[in-house]
Amino acid sequence: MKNIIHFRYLPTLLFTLILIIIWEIYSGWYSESSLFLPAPSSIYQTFIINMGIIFSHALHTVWETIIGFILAIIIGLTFSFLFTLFPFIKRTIYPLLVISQTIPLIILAPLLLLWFGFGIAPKIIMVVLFCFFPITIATTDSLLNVNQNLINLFKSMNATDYQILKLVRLPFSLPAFFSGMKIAATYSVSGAIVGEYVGAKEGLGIYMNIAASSHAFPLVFAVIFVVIVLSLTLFAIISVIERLAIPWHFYQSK
Amino acid sequence: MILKVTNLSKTYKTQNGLLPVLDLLNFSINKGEFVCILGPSGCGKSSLFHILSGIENPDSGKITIHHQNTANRRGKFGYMFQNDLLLPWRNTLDNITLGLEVKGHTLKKSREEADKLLRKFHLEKFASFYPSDLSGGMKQRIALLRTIAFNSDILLLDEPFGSLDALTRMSLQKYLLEIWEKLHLTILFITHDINEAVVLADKILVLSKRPAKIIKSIEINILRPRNIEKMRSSSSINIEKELINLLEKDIL
Repeated sequence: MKNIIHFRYLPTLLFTLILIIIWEIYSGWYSESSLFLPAPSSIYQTFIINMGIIFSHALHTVWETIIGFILAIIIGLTFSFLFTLFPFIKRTIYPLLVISQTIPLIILAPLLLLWFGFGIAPKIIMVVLFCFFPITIATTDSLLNVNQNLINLFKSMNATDYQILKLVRLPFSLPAFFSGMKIAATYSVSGAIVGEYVGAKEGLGIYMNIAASSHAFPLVFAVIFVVIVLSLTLFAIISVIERLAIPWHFYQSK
Repeated sequence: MILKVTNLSKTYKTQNGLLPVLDLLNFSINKGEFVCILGPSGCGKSSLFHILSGIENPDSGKITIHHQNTANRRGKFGYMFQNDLLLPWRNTLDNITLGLEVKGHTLKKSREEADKLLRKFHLEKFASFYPSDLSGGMKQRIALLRTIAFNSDILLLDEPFGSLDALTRMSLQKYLLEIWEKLHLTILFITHDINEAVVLADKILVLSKRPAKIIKSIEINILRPRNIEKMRSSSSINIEKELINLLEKDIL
């Protein structure tokens, strides 16, 4: 098992390494460009020097992300259940949710700041706005796409709608729910960053903003690196929970 | 008489207009009888089962079960579909408990009953297997036991062996007959396979193409067990010939 994972990601690791080497050589050769495109080695040094302060900002971002992500799951599931149980609500609200996602969220960030202040609230809302949609859509579509014969089988047994939801629709939709959460996980940290970027007391977003406006580009890249690691960690945590929660899904697609 | 169907008719409204599927069906089934419903593909056989089981309602006609005209027929039959419809997140034992859980039995009691049934029909060693680890034939066996666990009064089996290869199908036919004899089941079995109908049935109802009416009801008096010799005898070959003629005439 361990060997398989190592082998699976080996090409990605090697390819990334090659890109970093090319990047290092490029920024070393053109010394003017190193101002705007810092070399990986200088990003690394900056990261080590500023590790403490980066981590204290990261802690705020992580906190906002987790709260936002959990709220997004609750909101997403609530929408999914309402849509499944009441087709009328789905017809009314579903299109509005799609429209809401066409609004560039970055434009909302300063407005949220005006409405909800400099605290943690607008950041959490931003994370929710980034994350609830994939969870809602994936789960709803799956809840409504259960094999009609399976539904008929349960109807022939005189099962109630609630029994069908509990025994069939919910377990059937778990894989899609996890897919939705994995997509949301990759957006979530960025959501918090966007929220912080326009104004915050602490957090990676505002830290990055200050670093960028003072032309400390190695620091900007170091923070980007931390954002990547945080997003991947959340993604990995959800993947592990998925493995534990729905092992049958992995036997099946074996 | 356990089931009686009188003047049953059904017409679907589709985008291309009205589609009559059942046209004044009349038949009755005795307790313990094995009845095959034979007809061309798409003739409305499955619609008949949808209506009997209460998933849909007929436009007109009467269905009496145990001499009672019941409005809600749901739960009165054990219904098995062509696909096994086993839940991939449940192992064999817990798939069999499904119907019992729907009836409101506790999980513990349902598992005890399912376990008994598995032992009785020699599948106990598959109890902890997940559907993804079972062959097509084994899945259908489990689905059959799930159907029986839910309701062993009257079974509606809709081409349950339709997607299996010939050898597996033969072994499942034997398995079904064993269960039928041991539990004294009453079975309605849809098929479009003439040989299968003759091997299994006490009585064959031959349906016309859509809208389905019963063109003939044939009693099969071949002694059981119906081994290959009896199936090659002139009487069974004559029955098959008669069925082929009936179906051919109708299709052309």
